[in-house]
Amino acid sequence: MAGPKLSAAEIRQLYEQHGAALLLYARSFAVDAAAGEDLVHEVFLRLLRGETTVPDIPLAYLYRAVRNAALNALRDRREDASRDNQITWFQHREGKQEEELARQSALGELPEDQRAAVIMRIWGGMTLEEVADANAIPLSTAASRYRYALEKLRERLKPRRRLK
Amino acid sequence: MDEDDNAFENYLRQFEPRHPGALVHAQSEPFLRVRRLAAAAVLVMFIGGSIWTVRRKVLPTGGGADATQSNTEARAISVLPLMPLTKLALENPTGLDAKLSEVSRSMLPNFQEAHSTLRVLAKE
Repeated sequence: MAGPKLSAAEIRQLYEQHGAALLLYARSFAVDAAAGEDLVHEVFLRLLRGETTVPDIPLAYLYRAVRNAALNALRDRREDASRDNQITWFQHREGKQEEELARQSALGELPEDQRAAVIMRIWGGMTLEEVADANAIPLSTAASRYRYALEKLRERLKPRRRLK
Repeated sequence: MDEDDNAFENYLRQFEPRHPGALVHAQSEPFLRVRRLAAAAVLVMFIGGSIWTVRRKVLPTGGGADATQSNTEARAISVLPLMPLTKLALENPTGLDAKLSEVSRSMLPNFQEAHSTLRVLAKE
């Protein structure tokens, strides 16, 4: 169901607040940094140009749109396309690239549905109810996906946490 | 959600996902639409004006006398087509005279109007 049309300021605010998490979500589909940024931009530009109406829950729409765009980008990607995988998904305040790669690797190994739940909850700042709405799943399913994701991440990152 | 979960969430949040670059939205997009609309309006006005001008030239615009004279001339032209008469004059002048005599019997000169040939001649 289409909600009220968002103003340009509201769309920009959504971009400022959720652009980073959406880019992380896009890149978690093995999309390179440039392509990920392009597709996140395109999703927001379509909104700014008024080419699409936003449903009642804008965040749910944004994650779905980014997911679809990422899957399309993967499908259309040529084998010889250059990929700037040197740019990590995360940035650490102290520039610890090894830590960034460890986090990226642990997150990337999660099943897609669990990865989506943890990205939306941890870096997207969404409640479990919003995660459930965004994925069109019951709240209990969203909660269990999130819990499984946390357990796996905790297991994979345990040695690093002990070192800190 | 226990304390350990909260602590682990905070641990994960220590790493921030990279921010995408600034969202550059071409502000000219609305202006582009206005320009397209303006161009379409100019095109419609041009085509409409052209049609109006052409129709105005085709329809008779003069008063009664001029209109009648025009009708008489048009009728004469239809009775005496120019090209065949020219061809006849070049090829057979005698035949042309005979043709004109024949036509003149069925078509009297118009002397009822202000600028008819007979009136002009009478004034001279």
